[in-house]
Amino acid sequence: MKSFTRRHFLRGLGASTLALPLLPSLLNAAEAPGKAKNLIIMFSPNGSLPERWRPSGTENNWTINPNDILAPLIPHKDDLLVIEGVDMTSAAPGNGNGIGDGHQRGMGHMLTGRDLLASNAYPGGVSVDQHIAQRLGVDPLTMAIKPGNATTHSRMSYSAAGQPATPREDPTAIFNSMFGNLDQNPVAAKTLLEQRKSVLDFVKGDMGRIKNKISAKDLQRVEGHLASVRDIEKRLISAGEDGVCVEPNLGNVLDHTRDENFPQTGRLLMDMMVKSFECGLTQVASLQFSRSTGGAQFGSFLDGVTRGHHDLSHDVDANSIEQLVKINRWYAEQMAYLISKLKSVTYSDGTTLLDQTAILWVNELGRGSTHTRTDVPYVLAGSCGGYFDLGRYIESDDEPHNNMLLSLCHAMGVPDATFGDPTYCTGVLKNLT
Amino acid sequence: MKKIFLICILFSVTAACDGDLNLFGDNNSTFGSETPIIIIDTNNGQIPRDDDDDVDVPDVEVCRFINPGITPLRRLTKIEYNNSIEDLFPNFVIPTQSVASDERVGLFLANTESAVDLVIAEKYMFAAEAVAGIAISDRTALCNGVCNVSWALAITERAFRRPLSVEESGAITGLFEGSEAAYGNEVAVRMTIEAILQSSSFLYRAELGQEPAENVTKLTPHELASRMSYFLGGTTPDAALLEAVKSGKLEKIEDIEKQARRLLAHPRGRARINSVITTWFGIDHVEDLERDGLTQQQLESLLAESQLFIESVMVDGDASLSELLTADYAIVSEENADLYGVSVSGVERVQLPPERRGMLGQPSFLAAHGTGQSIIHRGKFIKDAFLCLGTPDPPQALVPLPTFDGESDRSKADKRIEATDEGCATCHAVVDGIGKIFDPFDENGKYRTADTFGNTLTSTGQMLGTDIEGEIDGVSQLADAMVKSEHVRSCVTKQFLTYSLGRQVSKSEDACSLLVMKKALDLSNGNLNEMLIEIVKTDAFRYRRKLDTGAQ
Repeated sequence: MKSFTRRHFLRGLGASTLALPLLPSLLNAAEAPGKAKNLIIMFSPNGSLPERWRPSGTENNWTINPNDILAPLIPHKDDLLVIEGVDMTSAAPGNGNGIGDGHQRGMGHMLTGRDLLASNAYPGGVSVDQHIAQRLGVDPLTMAIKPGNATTHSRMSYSAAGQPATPREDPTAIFNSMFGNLDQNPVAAKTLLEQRKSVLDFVKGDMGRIKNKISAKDLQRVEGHLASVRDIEKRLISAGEDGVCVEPNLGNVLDHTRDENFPQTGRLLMDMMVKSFECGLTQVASLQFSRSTGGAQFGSFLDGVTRGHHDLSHDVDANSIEQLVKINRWYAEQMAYLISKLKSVTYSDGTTLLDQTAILWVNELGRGSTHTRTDVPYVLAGSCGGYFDLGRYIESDDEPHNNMLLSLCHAMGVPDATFGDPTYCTGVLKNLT
Repeated sequence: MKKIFLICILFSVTAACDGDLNLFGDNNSTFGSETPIIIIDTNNGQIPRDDDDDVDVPDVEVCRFINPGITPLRRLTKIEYNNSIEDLFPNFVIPTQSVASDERVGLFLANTESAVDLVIAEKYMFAAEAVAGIAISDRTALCNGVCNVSWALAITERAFRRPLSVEESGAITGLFEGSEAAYGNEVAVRMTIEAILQSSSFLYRAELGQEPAENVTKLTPHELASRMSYFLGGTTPDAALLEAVKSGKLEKIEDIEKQARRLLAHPRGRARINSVITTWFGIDHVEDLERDGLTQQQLESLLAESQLFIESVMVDGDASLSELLTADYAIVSEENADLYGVSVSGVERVQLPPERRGMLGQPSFLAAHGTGQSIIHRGKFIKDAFLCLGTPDPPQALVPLPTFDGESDRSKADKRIEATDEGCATCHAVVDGIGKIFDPFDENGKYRTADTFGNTLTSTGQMLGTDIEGEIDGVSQLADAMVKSEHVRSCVTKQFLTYSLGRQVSKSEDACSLLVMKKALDLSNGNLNEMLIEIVKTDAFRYRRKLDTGAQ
């Protein structure tokens, strides 16, 4: 295994292979890697089954039924906040502009807390993950497994109103961006950097020339593209050194576009997510499994699952319910894996990476079969540097989910007054700290 | 055991499903994977038709003015990008580059909404570097061994699909000469290719030329060539088309038509139109379905079988809507023969059993829209794609309704309509009425006479809301009715104009263009190729409106 410092990391960029450094803006961050606060959003689609999801008992005296969805999280019970009773009020029937069906409104509002735009049905505001990243000045690691073409159903993160944040999907490409090219000759790498910069200078000039010839709407799009090219350029400058972490072993990569490889792809992406925190490359990451209305087939790796997820989610016979429990329990297992992985990174003061982190598992619906956006199932893990008071099962009093999103901002050190549509945000969610 | 199924409660006012024969305005559905677009419907950009305009338009009020609508700036789709690269570097084998996933306008792929973000910009950079790396591996093949400034200017002009401005020539010359001086010729060649393939002039189809003094102007010949080439071939203009532009042979209508016919007959044209038809029928992603009971190989073959069938209709047959919808044959591979209910060895053209006709009877179509709720999904797709009725958003919340184990899909559908309020029921009556025609086909498209619970399956449905009215029994009757329907033909013109322009069509601005297309379809006995040729002659295709530029 190779060790590398951040300087090594940068030295590798611009190498003759295709790697481009991901997430460099933490290079100037004050905190040592791994000790910054981190946020992870994990998404699974198509709603849940409240009666098979909720724990039993009271706030401080509660249990998870071993046959239910959250069973894989039992070993981590003390690190959890299970939050019931929060409503996606901004997306409730009768509220706002009403654009979109249940799935779309759920997906679009889920992390933005805002209505969908009439022009293109993308939500009219930034998502909480991208917002926090922008405020902290870090580049979010936005990832998805099989999200599909860009639609409201398939995008949960937005860098601005109407502007979906394209998720990264290919584990090999992500790995190369993060850890590739460590053995580059520094002189050759520097030359390649200069060349890339000259090429992008030309590209910027070309975009500048087109700008005064296009409609106002298209101008926005080209300005956005130009900003992205400038972002790439920022990655082509070298910076200081800090921290040491060990390059992980990528291992064997299967086809990430196949449902049957969900487990392996998910692990790879989660491993890299944890590594990116450990190495101080970012503080905000997300992993979207499938998409709203996603019909992923779990049958190849889950016994007894015979149909696609979305189809199943609309049925309420006993057999379909059992299949849905298996699928959602599999997602709980993924969260448990992520928790364990974060706990395995320890510091000399006895804390772990999980202590610095909050993972929020989100879903675009409450009950899948009826497309409810009330009582959405939230599971949070990790205290985010002591912000959340863990080990409890909380029943919220129908608070709007914008409050949950605002709590994430506060936990991450972004103490805004409100988040999303302010009509549906009354402050941070009660009783989390 | 009691079972539950869903009925819907309507929270939003529905615009469609009111029985109106409305081809426009209600198609901004946000359901499914379509990206909805606002209908721009203004009259502020029109000019009187020029007397010497040589196109033959119907003598009706809507054709007295040229009113072309907006021209969105289209970023190349994944297929267009890769085709263009292939044609810019014809002497090389270049692997398909995985640039960003596409958006849709209506049913069709077009990138006109969101901006290129960092992740997509990176993909363009990596793809450009990969292509440039391959191109410099053989400079004899690339530039006959002489890759100089003239070469750089020529390939840039080709990639940009138009002559370069003085400023642009200067920029390319500067890049090439500067990098040649610093790093040598090979690197300069590589950097030049990387630069042009990441430029907006390559990645976007900017059909913008001279800004007109008037409200409306014709596209320049270069812009028209580009639009025609991507429309009919999905790629950058070829040498013959560019030569026609240069020699002034893309200005008269008969010259434009001649080039359109040539492009359509070209292998690229045949492949493009085939692919557009698979998109129109919603089967373009059938290989991604991951179905129990169907192997990956079978799914891929299902698409290939439909493509072969489309090819046989569009190229060897009479290219008619009628043959596409009512053909009594299909091209079937051995592995899928059982699905079609025929016997085949290898790949054969076979007579279909009576329950299947045309594209709507192919398992690719039935499987692509077959789900646990096939009646709804198949009905809804036909309603949107072939009747253009539009579908309002499904309700935002559903409430459960008790039903019993083993109940048939048809019975559930009937109960749903009985139990719901008028808003839901009106729409479901239209959607389910169509979907029921396909009830005997399981989600993979296999025909059976009873479902897994032993309920007898029938193929009777009920058509509402268009000129196809009343009971229909089976795919064959439905296909026959669709071919005879004026409404369906109008819808076909609307779909293909949407595809050609990368925007939703508008009732006022595009009325004349749609009439011109409809006439071509009617006069040619429903020949889709003739309709496609006619598109390049329409106002919507040949003109553009003065821009509301953000620069002012």
